[in-house]
Formats: sequence, C-alpha cells, structure tokens
Amino acid sequence: MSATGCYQSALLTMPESGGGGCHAALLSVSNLGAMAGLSPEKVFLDLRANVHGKRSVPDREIHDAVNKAFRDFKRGVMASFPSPPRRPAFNALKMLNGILATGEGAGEADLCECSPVRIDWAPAQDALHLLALLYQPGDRLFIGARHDAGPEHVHTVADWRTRFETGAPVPEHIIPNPLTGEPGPTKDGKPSFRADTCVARFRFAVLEFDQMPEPLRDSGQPAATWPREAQCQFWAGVLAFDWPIATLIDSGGKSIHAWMTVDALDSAEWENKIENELFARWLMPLGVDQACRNEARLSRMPGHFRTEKSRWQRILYLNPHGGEMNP
Amino acid sequence: MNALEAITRTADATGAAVKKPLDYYDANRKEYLVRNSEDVWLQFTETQYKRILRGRGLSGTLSKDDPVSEQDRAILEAQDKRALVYSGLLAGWSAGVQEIPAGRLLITRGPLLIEPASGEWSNVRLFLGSLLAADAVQIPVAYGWLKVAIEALRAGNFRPGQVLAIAGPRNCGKSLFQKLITVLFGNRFSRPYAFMAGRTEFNKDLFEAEHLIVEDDVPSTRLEDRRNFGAKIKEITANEGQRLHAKHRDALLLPVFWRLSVSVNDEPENLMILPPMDESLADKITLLKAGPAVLPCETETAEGRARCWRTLTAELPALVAHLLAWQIPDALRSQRYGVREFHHPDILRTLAELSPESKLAELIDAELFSGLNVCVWTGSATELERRLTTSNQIGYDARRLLPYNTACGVYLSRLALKYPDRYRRTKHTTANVWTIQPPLMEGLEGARAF
Repeated sequence: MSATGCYQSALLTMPESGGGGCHAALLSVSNLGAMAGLSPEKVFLDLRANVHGKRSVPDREIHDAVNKAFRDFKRGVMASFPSPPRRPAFNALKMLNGILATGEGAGEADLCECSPVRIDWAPAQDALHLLALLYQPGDRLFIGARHDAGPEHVHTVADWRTRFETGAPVPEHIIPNPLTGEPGPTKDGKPSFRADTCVARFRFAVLEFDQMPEPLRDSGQPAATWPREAQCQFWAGVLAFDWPIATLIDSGGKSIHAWMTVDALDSAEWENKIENELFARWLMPLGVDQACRNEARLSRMPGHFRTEKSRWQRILYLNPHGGEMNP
Repeated sequence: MNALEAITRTADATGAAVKKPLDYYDANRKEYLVRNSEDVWLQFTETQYKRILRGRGLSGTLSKDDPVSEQDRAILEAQDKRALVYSGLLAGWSAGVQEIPAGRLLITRGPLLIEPASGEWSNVRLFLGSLLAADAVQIPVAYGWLKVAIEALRAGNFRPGQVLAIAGPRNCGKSLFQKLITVLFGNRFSRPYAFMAGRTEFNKDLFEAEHLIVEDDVPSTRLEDRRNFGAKIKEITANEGQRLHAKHRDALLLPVFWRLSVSVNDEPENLMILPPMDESLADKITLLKAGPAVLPCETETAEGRARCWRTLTAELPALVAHLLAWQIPDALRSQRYGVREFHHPDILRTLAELSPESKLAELIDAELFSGLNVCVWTGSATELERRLTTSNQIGYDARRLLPYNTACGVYLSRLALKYPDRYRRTKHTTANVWTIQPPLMEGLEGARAF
C-alpha cells in the first residue's frame, strides 16, 4: 500500500477520543501524512474533520501533533531516534586555556593586524567589502531585521551591493549562507524565505559566545558575559591554530561573531557533520552558543550602526579564502 | 572537513585531546574488555558493550550512506585489531596488555606485591624460628624458598620452585605460615587439589593465583590420587608454561608463576596424602617438620587472632626487605631452583614406611616368608605379582597396590636400591630374575638363607 493509502486508511480508522487512543493516533496519522508528501495544513484539516469521540480535541493538540510529525520528517525518511548527547572528544578546559594562552595579550587591533585583507576602510563600507570578497554576485542573501522573513529581504549580492552603494541603510542582520530565494517551511511549518530549508549553499557556521564558557567558570558561578578582552584572545588563538575563519565581526555589543568556513555539501551533511559533530562534540563544550548550530543562523551585518549602543557593527578580520574548499 | 581537522589539531596541540579508549576483544570468551574510570578492566558481552559505546556517543543507527554504524565499527575494530587469546587474572603477571608467542593477553589485575621496607620483624622471625625449629637448616631453606619466589615474582621471571610441604602437629601454625606466604606472593591463593589429584581437568581458577595451597583436611590418601598428585607436582615444578583449561573453552598453554605449599598433620594417615617419594620427585619437594610456633599474642579469641594477624602482616615489608638483601648460603644453593630441597629425616622415614614399595615388602614377607618358611624366593616380577595377587590372605591388598603391569618390577627395583641385601636382580636374556632373601629373624643375624 502506498503512503497515501496508509494515510487515508489510518485517517478513516481513527480511534475515539476520550480513552480510545485518539491522542497517539494524531501523531501516527500526521507521520503518515508527512511521508505521503501532503502539506501540514491538509493533514491538520483532515485530522480535524475525522476526530470523534467523547472528549473534545482542541485544535492546539492537532496542531502540535502535525508540527511534530513534519518537524521530525526529513526528506522522505522518518528521522531516527534523537542521537544521545555526545561526550566531548576532548578536555574543553585544557583546550580553552591552550587557545587563550596562544592568543594571550591580543586585542581587537591584533585581530585586524592578522587579517589577510587589510581593513583600511571606514566601518560604513564594511557591508560592501564583505559582499564583494566573500560572495559571488549571484548568491542570494537574507539581510534584514530579526523578524523579517519576506522575499523583500532576500536579494542577490549584486542587488544588495547596488542598494548599499546608492545609500540604502545596511540592515542589522545577515544570514551568512546563501539562500534559494524560494519560500520553505520553518520548523513550525510556517512558510518563510529565510528558514533552514531555504539555504542553498552551506558555506559558513556562525560561532558566538553569549556568555563565559562554562569550563572557565568557577564551580557554582552564574553565567556572565565573557569579557571582550578574553574573546579577542580566544579568537587570536583560534587564528593561530589555523581554524578556517572567514571573518570576525564586532557585533557592536558584547560579543564577536566568527564565520567559520565549513562548506557542507547539503543539509544532510550539515546535520551530520556540523550539528552533530562540529557543534555537539567540539564547539558547544567549548562554550560556543548552541543556538548558532542551524544553517540559517543570523549574524550581525557589518556596516550597520547600532543606534541603541552607538556603535558600529564592523569587520575585525577578513579572510576570503579561509579554509575554503568549494568556492 | 577543514574545520573539524583544525579543531582536532588544536585539541592535540593543546593537550586537550582525550585518548581514544582502547577496548579489547577476548575471542575465547566472546567478551569485550573496557577500562573504567577507576582504571579497572571490566568484561562485557556484546550487548553490554554496545551500551558502553552508546554512552561514549557512538550511534548504533545505520544510515543510507554508511551501512555500518559507529557502534559496529568500534566492535569490528576491537575484533580486528585488539583480539586477545586470554583475558583476566594470570598468576605472576602485572596488569596490562602483554604479548606472548601464543598471542595477546590482557591481565586485568596483577598481584599485590609487598613493597620492602626496613624495620623490625621480630615477631615473624620468632614465629618462623619456632615453627621450623626441628632442624637448624630448615629456616634458611624456608627463607631461601621465599626469597627465590619473591625475587622471581618481582622481576616477572617465572622461575619454577619446589613444592614446600610442612608436616607438624595440629594447630602448630602451619596454615598461618601458608597464609603469610599468600600475602608475600601477591595476596591471591587457590586450592588445586581436585585438579592435581585428577578429579577435574578444569583449572582456570588456579591460573588466577600465585600461591597454590593444599591442606590435609580434604585431600585423599588413595594411592591413585597420590600418584596423580605427584605427577602434577612434577609438572608444576618443572614447567614454566602450564595448560589452562577452562570450562567450555579451548585449552591454552600459558606461562604462569606458581608456588605450591602443602601442610599436613604429622600423623601417618595424614602424611599419606603426600605422593610416594621417588627419585624423580625428591628434588622437587621440600619436606619441613613443623613444631608449635610462638605467636605474638593469644589466639583463643577472634580478636586475639585478628591482632596476631595484624602484628605479623605489619612486619612483612621488613621481612621482604631482609629476604631481598639476604644471601642464600652456598651449601643450600641450587642451579635449578635457587635453593636446594631439604627433606626432614623424620618425615622422610615416615613417608618411606608409607611408600608402596614398603607396602610391597610387607606383602612379600606375609606371603613368601610366613611361619617358618625362610627359603630364598627366585622368580620374575610377573611371577611374583601373580603369586601375590592370587593369594587368599593378601590378594586384595596386592591387587590394589599393583594396579598396572609394571608396578611390581618398579617397586622391586626401589626395594633393591634401599635393601640390596634382600632384593637382588639378575639380568637374563629373556627376563630379569629376582632373588628375595627372607627377613632377618631375631637371634639369627648372619644366617639369612638356607
């Protein structure tokens, strides 16, 4: 029987709500719907039309089941059980101390000093230089505010450059990985032009410390912002160890964002190598913000002036060929 | 991927890389050996091992691109690159992976050897001195036996040593001496009697202890068991490689360190557990006569015994230091075993009286020279055996004494060595002819034969 047939059959034999097993069946039918290639909306409507029994099943319950099914479903295969938390393959404290010792004494000036591209332009010009040096003109990029998701924020690099050259303001965020320019579903199933499913090329991983790495904290010490000097030393150390860093960006706030060249082939490799290996086993134990691990992660767009902080978001280091494998 | 390679290199360069745990596969037991966080090797079945691998973050899920999961890969690697022929405790071996011609061994725990330390050991000295006071030479022989064994054990050199048999009255301290030997040899002992007497062919437990202990509470006085015991003593004292045979496993020849001590009460029926002493066994066994030992405190109460044990064991590091520095007197040195064997004459005499040839001599006298029959007997060993085993009076005893067809000839040869005046062999072309003189009768010395 085809997946669609299974779906139809399961839908028609939905058990009664109120003790009959309806709640579990919602997820089963949703899974079959996802496997059959149906849209989440259709599955939702089908389920709502077919639930029956003593207990009133709220839309929210159906919605959650459908969302979960579509979230777990990847490219025609049901995602396997979640991987167990991976143990770090190393002693994170030792590595942090080793990196910090290597970068000891370094500041922002030292980062700029070791940049292969000499950053001798004004911060307002950062966007143009970044786009020119890291991307092809035809690459489509999202540049916009945190909650922007529409097609008007995804343009080719050539378009963005034209806009900025003609005086358009530089928005505050960028998704470093080029997008398709087509809409795709978010994790919640909503359509978006900047979802993970919209990524066309998996070139960069964004690395950022939102707080002091846990291994460096004293036992019981609450999480706190990692001092800027220490971050500079860390990134200087990382550069000394030849990590493939394409750019370091001063966020205009407390942190420094790094774009690490990873050049994953597709979303499957991103999940296996970047999320499960690079982040889970190495970067997260080092204290890198785990929220950075998705492929459509936002980063700060250099050349944007943060009025609330009265500071520029600016490039500290730029290496167009840093670790590049598939330019 | 450059990023992963760079981070891995950084971990190596900063000394942060955690060494990949090396697990082993015991092909014989089909088990995996994993060292836990407390540095203890543990054995796991494949299912249990997969749980360990899962805990290390290795996935058991197959993917479309790779039909072998991470867990399977780790299992295959252990089977392919780190297979073992033996794992577990092995007498004389320190913990770790060892290579021998037969293959790779993983010793999960070594003996707990006492570190030498200078100090007083007067209580141990008094205990051993009083226990072995029956003959002045017994003490240096015992020290030499201990010294050779301790040195060999510490050097990882599996030099064989004689069996140490101690005969003495009940509760004189023989077993306590054996317990102290156990502590001196690494604190592991096993009881080999069932194996040595031929009652079982499985001997895995013996390979896990340096000190093999036989006491006279269980062993048998049957001649067959005594002979098997004697044969095994020869194996243990002559060979470095011993044949390990565990249940449901293939047998394996492994080098092992063993010292066997036997304690028996000195009544004849207890001494009967010792194998018949013959020429081939004489240099492989030391027979010491024990007397009542002086202990540092009373031992009637459990508390007293515990205190006594603590006092004696506390002095063992000093004893070890003394033994390592002490030189075995030249007169007691032996090329093969380091120290010569010693047989206390009293024990030897009693054993001789209990020997099968002595028993044969008794049967011969009872059958051939009973009453006034004092004629010389002449004939072959076979004829003598037939005569004895068909006798109405002593036939049953003779059949038990002579279970195999050459036994009579062997025992007659031993009697001829001990009593050449009475037993003489003449070689003829077809067979040996034995001439047996009657026993001397009181008042008739010098008038042996008619």
